[in-house]
Amino acid sequence: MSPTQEKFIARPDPELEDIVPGYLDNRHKEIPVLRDALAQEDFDALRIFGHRMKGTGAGYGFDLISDIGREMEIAARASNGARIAEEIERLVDYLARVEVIYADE
Amino acid sequence: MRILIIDDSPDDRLLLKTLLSKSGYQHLLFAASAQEAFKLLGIDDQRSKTSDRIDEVDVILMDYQMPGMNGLEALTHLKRDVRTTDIPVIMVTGNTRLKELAEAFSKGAVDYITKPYSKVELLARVRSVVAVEEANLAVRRSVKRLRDITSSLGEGLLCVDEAMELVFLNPAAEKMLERQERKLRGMALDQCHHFNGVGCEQEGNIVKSVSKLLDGFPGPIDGESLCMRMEGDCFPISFTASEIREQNQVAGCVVVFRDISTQKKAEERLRLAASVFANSQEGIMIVDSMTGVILDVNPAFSQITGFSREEALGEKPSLLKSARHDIDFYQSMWTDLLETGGWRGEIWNKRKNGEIYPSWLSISATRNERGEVTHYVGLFSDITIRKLMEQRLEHQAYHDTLTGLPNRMLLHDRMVQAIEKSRRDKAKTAILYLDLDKFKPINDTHGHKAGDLVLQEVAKRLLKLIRKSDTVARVGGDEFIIMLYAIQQNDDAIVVAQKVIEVISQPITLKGFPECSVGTSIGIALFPDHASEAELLLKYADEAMYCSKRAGRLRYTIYGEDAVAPMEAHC
Repeated sequence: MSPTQEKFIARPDPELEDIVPGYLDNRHKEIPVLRDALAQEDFDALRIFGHRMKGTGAGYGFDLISDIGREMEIAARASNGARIAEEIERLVDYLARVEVIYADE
Repeated sequence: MRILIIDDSPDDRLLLKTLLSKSGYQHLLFAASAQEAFKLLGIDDQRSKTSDRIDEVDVILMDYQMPGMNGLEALTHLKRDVRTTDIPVIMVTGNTRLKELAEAFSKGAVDYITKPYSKVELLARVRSVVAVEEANLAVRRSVKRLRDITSSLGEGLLCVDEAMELVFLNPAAEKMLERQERKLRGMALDQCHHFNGVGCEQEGNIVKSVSKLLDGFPGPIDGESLCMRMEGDCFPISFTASEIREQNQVAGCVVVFRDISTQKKAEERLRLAASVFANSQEGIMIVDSMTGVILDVNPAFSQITGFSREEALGEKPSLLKSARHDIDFYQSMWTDLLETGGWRGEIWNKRKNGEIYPSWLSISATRNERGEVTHYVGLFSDITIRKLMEQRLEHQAYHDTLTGLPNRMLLHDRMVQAIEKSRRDKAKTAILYLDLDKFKPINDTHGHKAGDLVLQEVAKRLLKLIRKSDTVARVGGDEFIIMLYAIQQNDDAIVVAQKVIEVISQPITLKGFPECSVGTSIGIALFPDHASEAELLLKYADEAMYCSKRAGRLRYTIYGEDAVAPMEAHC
């Protein structure tokens, strides 16, 4: 991560402190899987990944992940590989710059 | 409260687990697909659909979009299965399209939650559904408890609402009515075949009683009625109907009823037994086995014994005891009673007026359900007349009806005994065979009535001549036989023969007839001189008698000797 780049601040519910690291770790691990699915043009799998991210991201306190997931699901339905590639990169960027702060709402 | 989460996303499952467990929901189950959920619920096998509701899960949170079977299809499946149809399902959806939601609600979903989860929304909705389900669970438990309690009742129990529609039947009621509750639930009681069939319409039946209670008549109402089976036959029931009040308003009725067929039959048997007891011609007494006192007697008892019921109650059966039987007799009776539970036989009892009479007594022991003897029942009849008849018949079989003398059969019997005894005692027995002379002319001249009177007079005169140990028998029309038992010498027989000839020859005065006279010819045979058998002795005496006849009558002849006419002067 470049020190000049701005950080994304995420504020998950403190009750989720135990599971948030695992969640982010899973997203990291998912990146190559997404790329591979895109290379394979497996839009059905990409739609499911997108749908899941949409459903889970904000729940864990990461609204942007839900947003990426929503876009990815729409792009997958449209078999829009270029847009999916953009969303994967947006996810990579987000995961690289996100900073988690646990604080009560 | 157990919550099943069905979601294909591991992240979502983990998120829900964290949020719910931290909010106090500890019993969480997870399935990654509808199929996994069905397996976990035990409804993946269609063959076992008849079992009860699954109690392991109280609420289901199910993702709408899942690979394979989606949430809507899974919801349909859950609602179709009797074991899971009552489990509330909250649908979880990433979309808020109204059409999808409406479809989910139409399939039986109770609520929905949108993704991504808002903790506040999630917990609020789950809490709401859980609260309702907890209330439902309490109601189900209460209903189950009520059903368990009423299931153990042997009596039928049914409930109707304020519209008189059946809302509840316990298993005993289902059995008696031969219908399951679900078939009758909702049916108006007055439309229910069981309580409105032919024969069920009498006053005080269940329908009328329930109707009165619903109209405000204060219960409970007890009654008896008839209940019709599906085949159309009726059986008697007794019932108690009570109103159910809610906020001081009659909200329905509960009716407890039972089949009283057995009781009715028992009552009928009792009535019959009472009628038999009262009307029997045989005397009946019921005795307490413990105290030995008479507990009850019937009218025939009083008629036979002379003791009234009041006089007999509290007394012992020895009240009737005569002195005809010794202690051994009664001991034997008790031994039989104790060993076999019964005794029967002839017994001589005593009436209140002291008269001794024969009775035929039959005693039976009655036992309780534990086999213990509780009572003795004695049935007896007065057999005085029967005994007299028997004695008369016996007498007639062995005696001549005209003179009352022993007949040939009895004579033969006595001769056999006399010969046997004489043989032992080395004594003699003589047989004097008499045939009346000049008897036929009396019959011919004065008729048979006169002849009968002559024969009776002859019998009387002969009886006066002999000892008690001797026998006079009439063996033919005008033939008599005298058996002299245990004489010392032949002359003893001759002396008697001479006296007989003399006495018989005396003139006979008959009432209503002119004086007449007969004579007799006698043949004598002796044991052991002439024969050792009764038949031979009779034969020889008869032959000797004919010798006397041939020799000119009014004489005696000892068998094998010449006739002797000791009474020539009287001929």
